Amino acid sequence: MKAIGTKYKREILVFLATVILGVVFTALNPNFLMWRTMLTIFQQMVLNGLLAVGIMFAILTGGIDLSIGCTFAIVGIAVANCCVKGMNPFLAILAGLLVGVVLGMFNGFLVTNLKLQPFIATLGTMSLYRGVAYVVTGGAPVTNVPDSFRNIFNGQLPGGIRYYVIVMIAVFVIAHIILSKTRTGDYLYAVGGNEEAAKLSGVNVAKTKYIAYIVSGACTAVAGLVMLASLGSAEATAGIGYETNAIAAAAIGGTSMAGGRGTALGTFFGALLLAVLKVGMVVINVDSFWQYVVTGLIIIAASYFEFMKGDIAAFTARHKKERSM
Amino acid sequence: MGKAVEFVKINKYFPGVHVLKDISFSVEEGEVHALLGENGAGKSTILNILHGVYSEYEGDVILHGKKVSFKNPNDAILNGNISKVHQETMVVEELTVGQNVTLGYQPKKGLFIDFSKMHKDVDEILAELNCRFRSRDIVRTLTAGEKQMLAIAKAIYHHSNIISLDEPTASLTSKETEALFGVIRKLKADGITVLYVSHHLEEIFQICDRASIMRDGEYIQTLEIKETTEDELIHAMVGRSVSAVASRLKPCRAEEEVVLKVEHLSDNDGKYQDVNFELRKGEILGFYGLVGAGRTEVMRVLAGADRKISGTIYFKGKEIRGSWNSTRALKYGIGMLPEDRKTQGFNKLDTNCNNIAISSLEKYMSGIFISDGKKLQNARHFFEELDIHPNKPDYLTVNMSGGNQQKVILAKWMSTDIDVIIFDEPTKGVDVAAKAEIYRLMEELVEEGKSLIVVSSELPEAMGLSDRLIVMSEGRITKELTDRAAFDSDVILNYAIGGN
Amino acid sequence: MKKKVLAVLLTAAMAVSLTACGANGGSNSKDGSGSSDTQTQESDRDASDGAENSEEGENGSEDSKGQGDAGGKEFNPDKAEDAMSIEEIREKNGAEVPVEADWKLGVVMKSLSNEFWRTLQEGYEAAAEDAGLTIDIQATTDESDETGQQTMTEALTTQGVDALLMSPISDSNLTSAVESANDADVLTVNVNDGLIAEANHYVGPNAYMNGQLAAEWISNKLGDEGQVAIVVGMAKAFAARERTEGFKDWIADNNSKMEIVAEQNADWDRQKSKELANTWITQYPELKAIFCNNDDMALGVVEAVEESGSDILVVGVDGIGEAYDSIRAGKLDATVDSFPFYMAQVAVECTLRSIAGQKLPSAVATPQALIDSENVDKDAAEIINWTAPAYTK
Repeated sequence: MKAIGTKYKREILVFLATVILGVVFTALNPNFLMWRTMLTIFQQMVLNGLLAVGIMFAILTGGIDLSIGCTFAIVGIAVANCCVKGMNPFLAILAGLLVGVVLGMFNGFLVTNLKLQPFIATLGTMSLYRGVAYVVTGGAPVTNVPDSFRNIFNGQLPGGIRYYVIVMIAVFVIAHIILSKTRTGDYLYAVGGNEEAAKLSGVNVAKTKYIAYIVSGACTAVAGLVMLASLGSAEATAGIGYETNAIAAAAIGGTSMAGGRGTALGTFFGALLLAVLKVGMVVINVDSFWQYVVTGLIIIAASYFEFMKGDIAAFTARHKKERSM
Repeated sequence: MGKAVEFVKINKYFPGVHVLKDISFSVEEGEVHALLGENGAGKSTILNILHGVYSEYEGDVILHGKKVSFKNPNDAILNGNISKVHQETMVVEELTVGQNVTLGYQPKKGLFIDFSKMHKDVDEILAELNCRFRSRDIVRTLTAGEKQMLAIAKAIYHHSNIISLDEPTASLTSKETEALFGVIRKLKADGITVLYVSHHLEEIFQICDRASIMRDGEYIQTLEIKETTEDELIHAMVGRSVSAVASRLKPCRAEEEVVLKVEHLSDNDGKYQDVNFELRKGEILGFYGLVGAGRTEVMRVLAGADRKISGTIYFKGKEIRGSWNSTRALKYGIGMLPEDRKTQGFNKLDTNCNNIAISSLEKYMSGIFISDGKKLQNARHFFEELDIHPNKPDYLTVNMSGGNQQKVILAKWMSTDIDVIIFDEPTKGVDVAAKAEIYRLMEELVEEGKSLIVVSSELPEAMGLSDRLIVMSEGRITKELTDRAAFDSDVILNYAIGGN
Repeated sequence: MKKKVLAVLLTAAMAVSLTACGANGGSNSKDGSGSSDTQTQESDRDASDGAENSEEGENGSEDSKGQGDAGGKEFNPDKAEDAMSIEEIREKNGAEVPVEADWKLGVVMKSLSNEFWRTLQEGYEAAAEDAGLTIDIQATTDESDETGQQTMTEALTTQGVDALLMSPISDSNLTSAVESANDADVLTVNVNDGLIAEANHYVGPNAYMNGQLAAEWISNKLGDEGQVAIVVGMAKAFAARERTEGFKDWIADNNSKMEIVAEQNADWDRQKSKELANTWITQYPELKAIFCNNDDMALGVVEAVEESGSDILVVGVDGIGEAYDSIRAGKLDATVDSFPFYMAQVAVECTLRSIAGQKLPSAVATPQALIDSENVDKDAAEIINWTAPAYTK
């Protein structure tokens, strides 16, 4: 138990912060504690959660994937077109995942083969993919996505839990297993922690980075599918700015922007915290302008813990010593 | 003469560790005083206290008879006239020498920097130090040695009468080291007190008057250099007798079989040209040369870290074709321990256990998943075998001492079944005791039939370890010495500087 | 560990105290503005018959008295004293629109990825063809390239157009470009949002009226009682603020028994507005209607309402094609259409009149109408009583 406590210290901390936030919202409006509100929170963390766990893989390698918001739009458009033209919904889902993988792979190509800085490379594809989305649709939304597709994600379990919540949890579980139980996971941490050392250890750095960007693309594709099912339409402007929230969720969950540090569990709680915050502020009816202020403060505060950790450890050590003397 | 520095019962704690225990000793005015000890003995900590990096400690620091307590290094420089020249000197590459020397305290004329006065003042100091560069030069164009001089000039600019040098020769050529010693003698003549930290004992004998020795956070003793011997110093530092000299205790194990053969290896910008050599099974092949001779560049290609431009590599008689990278190098069985451990050797965010396992993950699989238990078991095994301290596989590698970090990286390669291990400056920044252990491990490795390449800039090390010695100069192999018994340092140095 | 928990607590406390004062400050600021005695006139109108713009003009001028004490230089075309509709202008200056073949018009618009702006563009092109003029239309690729739009505007001025018709991204990004155009004697016309106070004329729908029409329609449907909520877009441009204000003022001024229980931003994003509506539906079981600042957000809200199976009324603004489809499908309940195609025609007509020297008001209100299932299949020209301008060369 103690081992888990130290290993997932950050994750537990974020979870506690989330609970405290929940308590505060409940105190201000008891309605917050309703089962339906809980469901709403989980539903609303799905998109950001999926995007965050994807972008976390890119961040783990010391990179970033700014193009996720745009990949998200393209996948939505592609799958919407497939469905509207009568493709089998499961084939359409596969097609959507494939689109995500290919777009992620292109990011990987830019970062590893052309050796572009990830920030610049994905800044480029961000605009490129958005442009493709506009060109493909001519700016017009794709509508009337059939229910046969939408029900795959929108269906409900008893208690009102939507299938897409289950899908998100499944993605997080898979991400957790990849990171903690497979060679790929170790390689991702090694490359992010010290790329040169990883290379000198015989780690295939290029392959590892490709995997990171492909996973990022694939998770984004799943998010795109969920969005399409939820709205029943896709448009080129979808997902603008979503990458910032995804980065925030990953960062709150303890992902280091320098790479090499971060867990799926942490990112899950990061996304959960943001969802609690979002729903909670609507529930207590906070003015929209102030919501930005509060969200910003929470992100800064959450990130500050990283730096405070050392100070606190030093403080307690000194304290202990003084008491023993 | 009075006392420049007195430490009285200094105690210092880090989270969970008592790093300095009742340290008391003093430094005379105008002497060159060495601070000796293994890594982790507390030398850096006591210097940091002296220079105000750590402002919280127990005990008193007395300068020239007055008790002082500095809030930060700047406070120490301005109010204590005491400066530290860093191990890796911190400079702003794109500014001029003068701007770097006066950084933060530039002479001003009204609102603006008075450049003519700045350069005049700094040039005066540089002339006094016999430096060849001038105040208006851009720092980027200086060598490592010159940057060290710059740092000393900065100390003098601030009228420091106590200057600490922490491993000042680590990145200097022997010529630059000589020049540095000249400056230190000059400082001494001017009555400036110098504190000198180094692992190189021969430097201590060249330049220092007295040496204070620390071990495990405790003060051991202060010795007059004239009245002591190298062995006595080492014994005081390590607490037992250890040979600091690289030597072979066991006979040559080299067999006829050629494991690795390199033909006509060249790159595009002439860092190495037409490199040819063979490595036999069970052999220790030394590579000696001065800084910039191209040895590291060649080794990085062999280890797959850099692209192979032209030339051929044969592994066990078979030519390696296709693209060459570190993953393939590992498959063939070639691994490298880099010179710069901190930035290239390991993942500083990860534990010893994981840093050891990273190159051999397939060994720890159970089904399709990695078993952390198997990783830990492997790490435990090597912690025992290599005697790694502290015996904590779950510690972060970055918190280990230099020698133990080196052992962790070695354990990584020993966990794989590679045949060729390349050591680039294997004992750089490693203390005396760990050095001896690493030499012993190398011998064990060749006994097991591995082949080693040892790149070293320390001639005694290269000569003492190698079965065969290749000398490189300016990117070319200038000599291959096959007879270990006939190694001669003058001959080798001659080839290393490019003579015949 | 204790320290950390304490730190978390402190953060939470700080956040909450901030939100608490934010909530108060935010809602207070909007109260008490825009009271006027003209509202009864407006509520008499049958919205589905289409907007009668003459009334809108009058309303605007009377309304501005209420604003008078606010003083200041702030330009509000919805409340301009001399605002006129195109019918009034035609009546005053004669039906004929003078055109000379060498007049050149420049148009600067926002992102063509938005259907509204594409339709406006089509309107410009149709008007230019009818009038036999050259028109140079430029648009930014997205709705955030403020400086790019400025550069476009300056380039058109240097190319020597006779008039500029501009729809700026924000209320301020084209200010300096317009000043230099004015200096170069180029006629400047501000079309739809955002606002350029320095432009010679403003041509666009009365955004305040958008909100009023929506409120009136919802009131009729609900029997003037029940909880309503507003989804706003982040207020960068004038129209977003006016739509919300018009909606709220109507409720206040008519002593409506409808209660606005929530008002939140959804960044003009369909997904975000859906999520917002989801939360509201769980929090306000008695919610009867949701007004959205544009159709995109309304369509997101419609999905949330459908999912919940409730019968909440959803009203949007803009009248995009997808909104029409949704109304036909019985999902979206209503939208306030500003008819960008005709707005462009009005804008071109006014510009030509002004170039020819006719005196035009500072603000020209363009046609708008509320579209619901009853008139969704009616021809737009019929809804707004459109007569094509008579160009004479």
